[in-house]
Amino acid sequence: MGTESRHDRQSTSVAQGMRALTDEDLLKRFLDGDEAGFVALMRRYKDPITNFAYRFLGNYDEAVDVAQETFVRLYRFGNTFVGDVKFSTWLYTIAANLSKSELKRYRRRNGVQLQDAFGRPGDDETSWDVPDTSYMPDESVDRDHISQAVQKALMSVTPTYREMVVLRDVQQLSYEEIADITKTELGTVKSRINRGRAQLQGLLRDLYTEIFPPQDKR
Amino acid sequence: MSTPIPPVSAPDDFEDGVRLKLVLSRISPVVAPDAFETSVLHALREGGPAATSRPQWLVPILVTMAGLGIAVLVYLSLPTSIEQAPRLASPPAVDTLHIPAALHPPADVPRPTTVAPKRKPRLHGVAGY
Repeated sequence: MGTESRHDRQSTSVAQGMRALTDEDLLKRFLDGDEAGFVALMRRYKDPITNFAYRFLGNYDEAVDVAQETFVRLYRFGNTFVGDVKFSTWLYTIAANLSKSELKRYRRRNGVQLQDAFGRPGDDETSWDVPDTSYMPDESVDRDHISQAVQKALMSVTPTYREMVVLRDVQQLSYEEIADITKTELGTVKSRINRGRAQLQGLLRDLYTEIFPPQDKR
Repeated sequence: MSTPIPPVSAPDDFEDGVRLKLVLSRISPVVAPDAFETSVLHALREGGPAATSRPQWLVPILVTMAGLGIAVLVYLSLPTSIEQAPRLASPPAVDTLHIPAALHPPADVPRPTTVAPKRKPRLHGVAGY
C-alpha cells in the first residue's frame, strides 16, 4: 500500500512536470522515446479536439472516433512535424481533415442524395458542402435548449463556413491559425467566417429574441 | 491647424455580432469520454488504427483481393506456348529414336471407318415450337 501511494505520488509529480512543458517540448520528449510526452499531449488536447469535431460533425460518437484517430496519427507521424506552424495548429489540421473525410463518408454511407445548383447529382467536392438541414441534436451531449438550438443551427451552415466559424468562435483560434489549419488565404478565411456568421445569425434570430428580449423603448 | 481624425463607427451588424458571441459562449463544451486515452493506447498497442474507426468490411475485401492477386500471378507464371515450356538440356534427335515395330500398323489392314452418330429427328409442332 505504501509502495502504491509512493508510485501515485511519483506519477502525480511527473504529470505536474509535464504540464509545465510546452507542446513542442512534449513532442520532442515523445520523439526521443518517452511515451509520457505523448500521453501528456493527448490529455492536453483530447477535449478541445473532441469539441471541435463534435461541433463540426454534430455526432458525438463520430467526433470521438475522429479525435482518437487524430492522436493515432500523432503517434505514428509525429516525426513529420517540422515546426513551421504551432503544434496545436498542426494537430487541428489533422483533426479538420479527418472530420471532413468523416462527413463525406457519412453522407455516402447514408445515401444522402445531394444535388448541385443545376439539379444534377453533385460531384464529390460540391455535394459534400451542402448543409444538413435535417439534423437532429444529440440530446445526450447538448442537454440544454440553447446548446441544442445552436448545434442545430451550426449544422445548417455550409460545412466550409461551419469549419471556420467553429474554429474561430467556438475554439477561439486566431484568423492566422485558421488560415494555416485550412490551408486557405487569410482574406478568404475572414470572408468565409463572415458568411458563416451571417448564415448563423439568420438561423438564431428566434433564439436571440428568447435570450435577449427586446427592451421597452419609453 | 490640424485636421481632426474622423471617428470610426461600429458596423450596422455590431449588436448581432455581440449577441452571436454571447450565444456561442453559452454552449457547453463537449469533453472526451473517460475511456478515450485507454482506447487510443489500446489501438496503438494492437498496431492498427483506432479500433472504433476501422472499417470492418475492409478486411474480407483485402483478403479476397490478395487471393485474386496470387491467382493471377500463378496463372501468368504458367507457360503459354511450347517455346516457353521447360526444355531438356539436350533434346534427343528424332532419327535416333527407336520406334517399336509393333506400333507400325501393317499396310494391308484396312483402316476402320468412323460412323457418324444418328442425328435425332427435329421436333415439329407444339413440342418443338
